[in-house]
Amino acid sequence: MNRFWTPDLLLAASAALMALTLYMVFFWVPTDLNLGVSQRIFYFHVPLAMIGIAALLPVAIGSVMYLNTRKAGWDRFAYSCAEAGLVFATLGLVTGSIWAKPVWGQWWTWDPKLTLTAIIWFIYVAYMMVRAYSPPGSQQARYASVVAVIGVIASTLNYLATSLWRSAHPETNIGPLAQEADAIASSAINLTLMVALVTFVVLFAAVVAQRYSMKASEEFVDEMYRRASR
Amino acid sequence: MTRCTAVLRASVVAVPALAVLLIGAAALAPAAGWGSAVEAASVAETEAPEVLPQESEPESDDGPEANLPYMFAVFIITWAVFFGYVFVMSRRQNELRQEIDALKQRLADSEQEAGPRTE
Repeated sequence: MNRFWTPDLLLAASAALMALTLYMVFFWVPTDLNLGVSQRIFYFHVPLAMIGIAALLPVAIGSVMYLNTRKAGWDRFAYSCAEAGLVFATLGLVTGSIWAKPVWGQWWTWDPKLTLTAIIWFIYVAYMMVRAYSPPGSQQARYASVVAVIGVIASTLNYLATSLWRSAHPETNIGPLAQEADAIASSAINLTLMVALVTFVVLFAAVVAQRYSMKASEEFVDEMYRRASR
Repeated sequence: MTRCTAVLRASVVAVPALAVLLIGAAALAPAAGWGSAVEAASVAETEAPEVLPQESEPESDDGPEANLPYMFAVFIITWAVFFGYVFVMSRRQNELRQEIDALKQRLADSEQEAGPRTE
């Protein structure tokens, strides 16, 4: 099977799901009474931020598995998830900031949830810098896995932030910590959010698969240069 | 062939991006019935929470369409970033494939040249 087949298939699946999401967001789900059309940002912002924050978990798993097994595939997987996670986390921050302006009247506030998200963004940047500047091999993998594990702690704190501290950010309304009072009341909103979440998860998988195959090609080129220079 | 694949990959992202713009244009038309069903439960707090210092007033009180530019900014930025990212990855992937082909050719040539000397 062509190794470039999987990313293309995932990209095509995410495009089809995105069409469904856009239909639901723009035509199917009702407009929020209080927030107006700006509430539709929710269906992009929440999945982007959630995936951007949660992606640190596969990064840490990939890093730790590489340290245990020394299989290059795990290292490639960790790196690909980190790069894709950085893109998602960046978009989560940007879309959140754009939504905050009409709702809160300001682009940014040093709220615990927002600050932790900014810290997670810097953890991604730190991970990419460790990968770029530390010597290749086990030392690089060790440093990177330490950064990834710190990232997992930060992302867990981020999920708990609205429960632990007083926060301007809305309460957690999906997942195990969602209180009944904070859960999304409208089933249409809930369903649209779930479809959007699945769409962005597939898009994340597509980006990771494409980056994984590119990383494999980069390593192959490096290996060929080494062979050619002998 | 590789250029064709790159165009295909780019179009996979470009099509939904165009769909956003088209749907946006349709939504702006009054006939599309923007905000016709205004009854959903609120997802977030409507009033700015008291922990926020009020630098300016929230802008959500001017009707359901008041914040349309913010919504389109989000959709356009998101798609621009994904389009750019996938496009750059596809281009880099094609460059790598060409580099691999050139290196394979170089290795084959050097092995051929080295062959008679070792005999």
